[in-house]
Amino acid sequence: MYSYIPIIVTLFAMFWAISSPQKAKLDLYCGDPTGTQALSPRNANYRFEITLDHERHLVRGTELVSWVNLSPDTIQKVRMYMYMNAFKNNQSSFIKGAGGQVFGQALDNRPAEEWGWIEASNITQNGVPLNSRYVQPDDGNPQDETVLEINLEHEILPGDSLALQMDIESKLPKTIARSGYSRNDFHLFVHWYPKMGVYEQDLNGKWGWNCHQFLRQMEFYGDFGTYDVSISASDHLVLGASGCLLKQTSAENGMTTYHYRAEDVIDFAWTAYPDFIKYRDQWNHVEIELLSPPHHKSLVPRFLNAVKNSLEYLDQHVGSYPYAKITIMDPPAHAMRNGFMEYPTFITGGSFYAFPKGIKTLESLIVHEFTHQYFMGMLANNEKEEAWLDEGFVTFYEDEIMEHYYEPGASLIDIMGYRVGNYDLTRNEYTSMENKRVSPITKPSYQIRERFKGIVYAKTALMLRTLQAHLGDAVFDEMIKTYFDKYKFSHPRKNDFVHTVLEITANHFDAQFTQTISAFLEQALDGTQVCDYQVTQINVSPKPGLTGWMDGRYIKESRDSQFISSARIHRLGDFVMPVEIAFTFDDGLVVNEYWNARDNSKLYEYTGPRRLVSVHIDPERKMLLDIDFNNNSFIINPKKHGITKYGVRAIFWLQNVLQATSFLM
Amino acid sequence: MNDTLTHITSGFQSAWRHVKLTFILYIVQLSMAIVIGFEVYQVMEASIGHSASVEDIIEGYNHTVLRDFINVHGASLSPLVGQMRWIILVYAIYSVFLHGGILNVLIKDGADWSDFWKGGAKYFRPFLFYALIFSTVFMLWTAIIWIPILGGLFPLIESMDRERPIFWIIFVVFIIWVLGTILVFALSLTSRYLYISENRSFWHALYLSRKRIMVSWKPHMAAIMTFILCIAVIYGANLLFELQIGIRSEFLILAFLFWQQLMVIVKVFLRVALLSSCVGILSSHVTK
Repeated sequence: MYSYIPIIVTLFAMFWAISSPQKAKLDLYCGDPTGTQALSPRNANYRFEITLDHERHLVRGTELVSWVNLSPDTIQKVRMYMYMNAFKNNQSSFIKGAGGQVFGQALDNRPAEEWGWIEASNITQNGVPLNSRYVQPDDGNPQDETVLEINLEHEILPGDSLALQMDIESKLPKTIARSGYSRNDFHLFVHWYPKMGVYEQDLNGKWGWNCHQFLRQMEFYGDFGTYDVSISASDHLVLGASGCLLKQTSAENGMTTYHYRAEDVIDFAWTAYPDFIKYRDQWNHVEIELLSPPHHKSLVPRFLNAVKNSLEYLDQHVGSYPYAKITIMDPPAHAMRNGFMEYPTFITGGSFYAFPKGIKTLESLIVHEFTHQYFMGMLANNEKEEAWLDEGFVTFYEDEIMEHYYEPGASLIDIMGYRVGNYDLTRNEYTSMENKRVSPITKPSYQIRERFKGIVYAKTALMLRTLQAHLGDAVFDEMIKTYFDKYKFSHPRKNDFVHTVLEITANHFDAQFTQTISAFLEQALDGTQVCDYQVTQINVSPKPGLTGWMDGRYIKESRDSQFISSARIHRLGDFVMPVEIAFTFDDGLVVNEYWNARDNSKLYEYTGPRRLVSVHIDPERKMLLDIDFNNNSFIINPKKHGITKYGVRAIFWLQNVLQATSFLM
Repeated sequence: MNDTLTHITSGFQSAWRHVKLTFILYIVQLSMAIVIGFEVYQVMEASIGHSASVEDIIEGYNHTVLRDFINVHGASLSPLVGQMRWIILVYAIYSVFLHGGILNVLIKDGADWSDFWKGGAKYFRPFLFYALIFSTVFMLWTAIIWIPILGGLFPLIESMDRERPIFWIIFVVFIIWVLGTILVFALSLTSRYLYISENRSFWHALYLSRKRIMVSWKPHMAAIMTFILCIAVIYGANLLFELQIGIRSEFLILAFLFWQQLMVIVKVFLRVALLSSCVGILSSHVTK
């Protein structure tokens, strides 16, 4: 019996360790991140050995890049992103493009230590030093140092690998846009290392480097690969990063080395802050880690539930999340500028102490950023050129997830009777734009100068919602799953999406409907047309009987029981999309018509014993791009209590305003 | 404490005795507000009155319906906003007259209805200047307190390691602002009281009001806080009533209209009661 004691103790200890991950000393558990089967081409792989100097807010170390030439070209030069240099001075294209102000922050009077930069030195290929220079392929601004061109000593043949080694020093700015440091040793490292551009075919089929400078409205574009990152940092800091922590080693000098590995991702971000508290949760195979500052404890379940809801919904409707871990960084309020962003397997939120329960922007933000793991993380479109392929899709799923898991119609705000759904806000982002023709969705993102969010985020989401309504939930899901399966771990473009939509549509519907969907996509994606249907008036009059001399007889017929009902339907906008119209008669009969909407208006007329009482264009609300739903229907005798209620409310509130404003009179 | 309670109670009694004052204030407010109420109804009726959307707003706030309405018909609301500004201005000037009349009735023993009109007319000019002075002081006070706080909110947040103190700072600033506002109100009322009851000159009454408030600060504060508390309870009740019951039928809309008007009347009554309590407090401190 006693011989079993060590086994029992061991088993108990193992059970305790597994069931109490929060109490585990080291943050080592992360499923099986080193799976042998590559999910992606893995043609841009990185290895870093760096040390964080938290007092100077910089990292120093070495970077090894292993890049595979997947093109048919022989490569003599490579281009790398050096995006931290966007924060080097106020002459970078990023800051100049922002008019010297980023997120309301003026940058002209920054002291020397608050700027950031990145330097790559001793760049070698197989031990041979290489020459490099900054290039400005987008705007020719000589002060911009965000793209580095390196002349190779040995050219890289198709299918061959390039190994680059370099010393790097990356200094964080005091946060300008996400990347940066804040009070009390808070650090967020994004765009912190020299990163390979993408060598690909452009739309004309020509191969070349796609490596834009860092301009406003630009985020990521990179190839998939593995990241092996060893970070030595002071042991008072709590770290979190993309990928999984494989090993943590403490040294006697007060430094700890963290060894992270991320696979099949396009980027690597990490954070360090002494006050982070780590919380863990699990959804199926995915470990969820939340790094949260003190005072945010009450918000922890909200963060974790939002991630779990997203995982579940996207798993069912898009595809499975293949990574072993997702890390969420909830920045302290003083580092709020570092939040609201997505990186592969690492997202940042935005909240503050006592964040009201009735305002669910905390959840919607997390849902949004998590969904980027699919649209940007795995479907790694070029965010600089086609941001709608991720931001628009993400906004669509953000609405779907929020409306599914939180109260529909009040999923975003529910305070004292003021209820706003996530979808309501997305739609209003587009419909409230003064000029809805400012740009087509598919215009390169960095060329969209105004109302970027209204077009790229909201209009795309409404386009997808319209598509969903027309195809039906099941076909739409099949289409998205097909698109995801086909293009995950690659760089999909507009045509990949459009072809998938048309292919799946053709499998389920007739050629005419497929043609309708094709025309819809063409207008919604490449056009600036505006959609607005209107029914202006219903006329009902008794049908006059025959009267006068006919065949030698005088006739005067009475037809009191026959009526002529008519309604005129208008297409006010220039977006042409066939639409259903429901005509309801006084005996309850509903007649559904289908209008191709090719003309600007159409008069519908019915004769018979019934009187028309209401007309409803698009009764199932399938055309979500319609900018005014209120004019889509006309009822002869509507219930107007709603309007009366607002009249009464206006009286009451004005009485209160009068009393309040006269208290010193 | 007992004295203060007595003043508050007698304020309510006095307001009840002069309940006509409550009604005249209420009628003036209603007649001005009703103009806007009707116009809101008319604009909505003309623009979306035959839409099925009007049935969606019966259930409660509907963001989509209202945003589409504002996006498309926002221009027809602009004249209403302009009108509302004028109504607020006209009411503010008219309430100088009303307050002159009310204070005249409350201060004079055995005052009758004619004293209301006489007081309103007699004190209109000096009270208008008091109103301008104290409104300016109030606006300056609000600006001094809130502009640095709101303008410096981001730098404040970014300069603090912890978030909780920021909430406390804002809370403390809010309390200070409320106390300052109460002081401005008390000074405004005391100046007028001294002008009427002690026949002081305009500037002398203004000067003396500071001294008088210093000796009667606590009861004033208690009376005003009681008033604020009652208002908060009324608003809370209104919100609870609306959220719990909802207003979905014609009958409930009518019932709600009466309920809200009842609340407005109670609020106006409370205001008269507050003025009466403060007059009581001021007169007792003179005799003391």
